[in-house]
Amino acid sequence: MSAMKIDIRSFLLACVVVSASLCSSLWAQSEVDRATELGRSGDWTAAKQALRPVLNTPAYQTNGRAWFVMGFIHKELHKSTGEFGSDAPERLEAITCLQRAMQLGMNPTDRAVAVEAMDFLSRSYFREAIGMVEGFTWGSTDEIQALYGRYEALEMSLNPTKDLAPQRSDLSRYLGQAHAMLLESESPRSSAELKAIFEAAIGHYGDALKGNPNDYAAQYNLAITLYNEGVRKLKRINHETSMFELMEIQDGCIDLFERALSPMQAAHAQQPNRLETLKGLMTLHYALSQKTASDAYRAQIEQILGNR
Amino acid sequence: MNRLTSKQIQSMHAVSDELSARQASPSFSTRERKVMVRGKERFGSSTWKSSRVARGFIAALICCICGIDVPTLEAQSQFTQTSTLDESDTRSITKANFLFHFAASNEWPSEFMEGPFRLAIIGNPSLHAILSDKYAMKSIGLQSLEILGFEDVASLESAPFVHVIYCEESGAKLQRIADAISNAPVLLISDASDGLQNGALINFVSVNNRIRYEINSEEAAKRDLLIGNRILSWAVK
Repeated sequence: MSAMKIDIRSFLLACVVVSASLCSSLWAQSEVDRATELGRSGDWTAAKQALRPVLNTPAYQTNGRAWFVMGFIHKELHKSTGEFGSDAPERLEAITCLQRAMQLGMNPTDRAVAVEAMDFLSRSYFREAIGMVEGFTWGSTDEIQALYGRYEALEMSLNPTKDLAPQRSDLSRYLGQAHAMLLESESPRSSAELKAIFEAAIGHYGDALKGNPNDYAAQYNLAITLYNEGVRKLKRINHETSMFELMEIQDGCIDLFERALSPMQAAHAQQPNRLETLKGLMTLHYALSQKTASDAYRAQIEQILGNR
Repeated sequence: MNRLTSKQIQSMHAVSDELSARQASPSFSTRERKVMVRGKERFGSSTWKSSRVARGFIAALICCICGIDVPTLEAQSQFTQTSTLDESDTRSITKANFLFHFAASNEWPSEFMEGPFRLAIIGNPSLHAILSDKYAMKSIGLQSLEILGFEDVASLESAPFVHVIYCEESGAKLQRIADAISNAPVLLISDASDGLQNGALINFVSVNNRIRYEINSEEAAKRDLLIGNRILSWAVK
């Protein structure tokens, strides 16, 4: 009799536990559905408010679909608010939620959409990084690299075998060129700032060439940046320049011209009949007072132009 | 891989922001070509999926027909261009400053230290332009500096007295110029391997890729030209 009482009690307890669990699960499911419906109607803010407060409750902590929906909502909010920057909160939240959803597991359809969403978010970082390079301002390199870093991390999480070295190399080249453009702009800058910009340009081209030693544009642009810096130094000579300063400036310029020669020759080796490199070599040798070599490149240019 | 222009990309694709993000990718492989649906996504609904597939197929078809690869970052970027070479004449910039110092740091007989100080350039319009641009309004001592440019030696004959002549002739031609001014305190400057042998008083030479100069100070003294110590100290010979 006593054993039977215990069994009934156990049975009732089990019923309570099971029904509580079912209710909890149903309740959880309903929050997800509600958020989904709100999302479908375009009210992403309300969708977020419906799901976010309960997401960390026990009922949802292991619910992959809930995290997936939350991630998707954050992604849409990121788009609609127009937020930007490597620390844009909605985008970061979207990634966190989607990554958690993928860890927890989802049905194949949700998983495919989650991958698409992550892919989009990843590319949005890349797009922003490139946008900042195109409208480059001095001092924005760290943010550009942070954006690119997030892009790279996401891409690697989606496809760990993907080779991102060419893209990183491209980014470095663009950064080099962006810095070089600043040097050529007429905005007033202190000599210390100009020196830092020049050094940064050379550093970025160096990084680009480490990633891709055969990058023609990086080789050519590096050579041009070095050469043009030498020319800028020469142009600063005026009637107040002493003989000593003239000699010193000339030494600095020749050093830059000599440094420019190697990447220009490397670019030329890749595309031997390209006129811009032939012209570059002709000009460099002329600046280095190497008339015979300069004349030889001039003759090659004339021959190519004559054959056209 | 063919690169697209921004306009081609714009006209080929819809304006979905997600698509734009894809266009920003620098190196899509063919396998990675995907087209995102513009507008609202449906959390995996069949409508959404079929629409996506259809749009993807159309976009892929357009790409194939046009014979173009998937748009890349470079296609939209100003960075497709290589940098621009500064075409300034570097040797002339350096020489111009040397010539200014030669004019300013040497001494002419007193009767030639009145009126304008004339510096003539024969046959190097680039050097003449740089000198005129940078130094024409300057003075040499109490004399105003005049920069004169001549196409050839013949046109110099009708010119008034010049204190400095720079020419790039060599050999017998240079010697003829030197002979024509042998009795006058004219500082003849050349840029020739045989410059000093053929009558130039200062000759530009190349030393370790740098522009330097050599001086025939004895000949200068014969013409009553006093070469300044600063000029002498930097001469290679």
